Amino acid sequence: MKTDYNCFIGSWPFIKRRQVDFDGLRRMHERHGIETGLVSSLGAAFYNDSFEGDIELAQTIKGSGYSHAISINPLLPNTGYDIKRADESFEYDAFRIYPTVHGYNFDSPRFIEFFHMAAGKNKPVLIHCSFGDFRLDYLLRQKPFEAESLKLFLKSGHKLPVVLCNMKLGEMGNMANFLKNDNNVYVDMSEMRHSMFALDDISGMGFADKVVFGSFYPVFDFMAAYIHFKGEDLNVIDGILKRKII
Amino acid sequence: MIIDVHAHLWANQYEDDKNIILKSCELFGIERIYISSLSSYYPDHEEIDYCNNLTLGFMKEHPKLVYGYVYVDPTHKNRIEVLEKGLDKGMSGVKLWVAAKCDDYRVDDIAEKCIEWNVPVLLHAFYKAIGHLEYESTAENVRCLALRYPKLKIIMAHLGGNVYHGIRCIADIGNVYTDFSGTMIGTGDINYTLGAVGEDRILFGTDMASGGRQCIAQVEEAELTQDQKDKIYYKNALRIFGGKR
Repeated sequence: MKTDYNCFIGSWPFIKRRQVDFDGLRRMHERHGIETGLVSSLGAAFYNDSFEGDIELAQTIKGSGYSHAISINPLLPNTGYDIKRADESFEYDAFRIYPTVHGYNFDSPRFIEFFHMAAGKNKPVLIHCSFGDFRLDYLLRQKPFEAESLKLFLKSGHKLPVVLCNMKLGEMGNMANFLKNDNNVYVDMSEMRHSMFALDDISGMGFADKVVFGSFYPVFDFMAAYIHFKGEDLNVIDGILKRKII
Repeated sequence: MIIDVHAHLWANQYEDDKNIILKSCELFGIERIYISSLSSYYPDHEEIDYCNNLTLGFMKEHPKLVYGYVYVDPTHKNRIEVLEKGLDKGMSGVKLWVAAKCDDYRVDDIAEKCIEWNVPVLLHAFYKAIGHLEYESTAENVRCLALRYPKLKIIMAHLGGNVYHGIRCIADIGNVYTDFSGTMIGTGDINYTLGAVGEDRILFGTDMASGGRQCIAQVEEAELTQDQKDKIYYKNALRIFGGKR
């Protein structure tokens, strides 16, 4: 299945975005031959209680063939309560976290505790290394992404698949050793805007087999990620679009 | 046809940049590209000369494809000499970057020369929540300059950085055009701009060689008629810079 691992429905709180509902997302995917998505709720990312966004999303995508990544803020007390409510209420396939928005590093005991819970569920964790264009959102000041703290965490022997979403190409270069050598670490394509030939750059860095497709739609233009397939070999495109994490 | 009005060679990697630009133009059907060469934020006279010579060299190598902006630092006393030398050698416009705000009094004679030569000035403008440089212009500075010089053809780069800050500053000023070069990829940015300034004042630019595919993606994803697309891709550029398809 051709999958978009970084897609959302719901409103971006600071800027009006178009086609923010599930139909809009599906239409965009259909137009480009994407068959499914690991979708999350923008509401859940920003709400004080993410479950309120996730229960809504679960009802919306039920029976659609799309998968659900629930949003978690590990800094909230009793993260296990969020997971338990989700377990009891709907099906989901992954966890999505937003450290730059919620404001923690990867050495935070709350994050580590959450990650152990995720491992207990054997569901992948999608980590957003940024969330929107931090240069432009002057109403939301994001905590800078801490690559070194993530590296230390990844060295500690995690077993779960981890997808680094919204990671910039330069940061990928900094993480190249992990992306090459850690079988469970992947990156998505949503932030390849700083290079004309980003997939070539990634091949040169040696981790082309760790790239999954992620658009960060509807916050970013869907095509901004998808256009990196132009001029690429069909095998490369298929490899990325059909890479299976869940 | 596509005309890219905003691209660069970076002095420390210009051979790589040329290769990327040439390969990209072929891949995406860009038939004309307007280049300026840049290096440090606060260049000395030698650096300005070096950068402009890089641009002239690239123009000479690919005369049908590559056109040039003469890069001028408004804080330099020889700025007009540099400007006229570049235009004399066939450059098509003037580029100002981050050494001085674009409404600085030292830009006045540059603006007057651009009007005299009937060439546009490409102004870097970026409103940043973090990392803003001391003399980096925003769309508010562009607005001040444009109101002072209503006959000056101004291209405000990057939609002013943040489209919601930038476009409101130029919406009611007819001599300011804007390009959406750079790495902003918010859905709907082009349509928001279109709603505010209309299709005759939007220009296609990439900011190559540092990225740029997303700029084509934005046009392709925006809700545009073919006529609007044509204007953005090349017709507006032909009108401002002159030349035929």
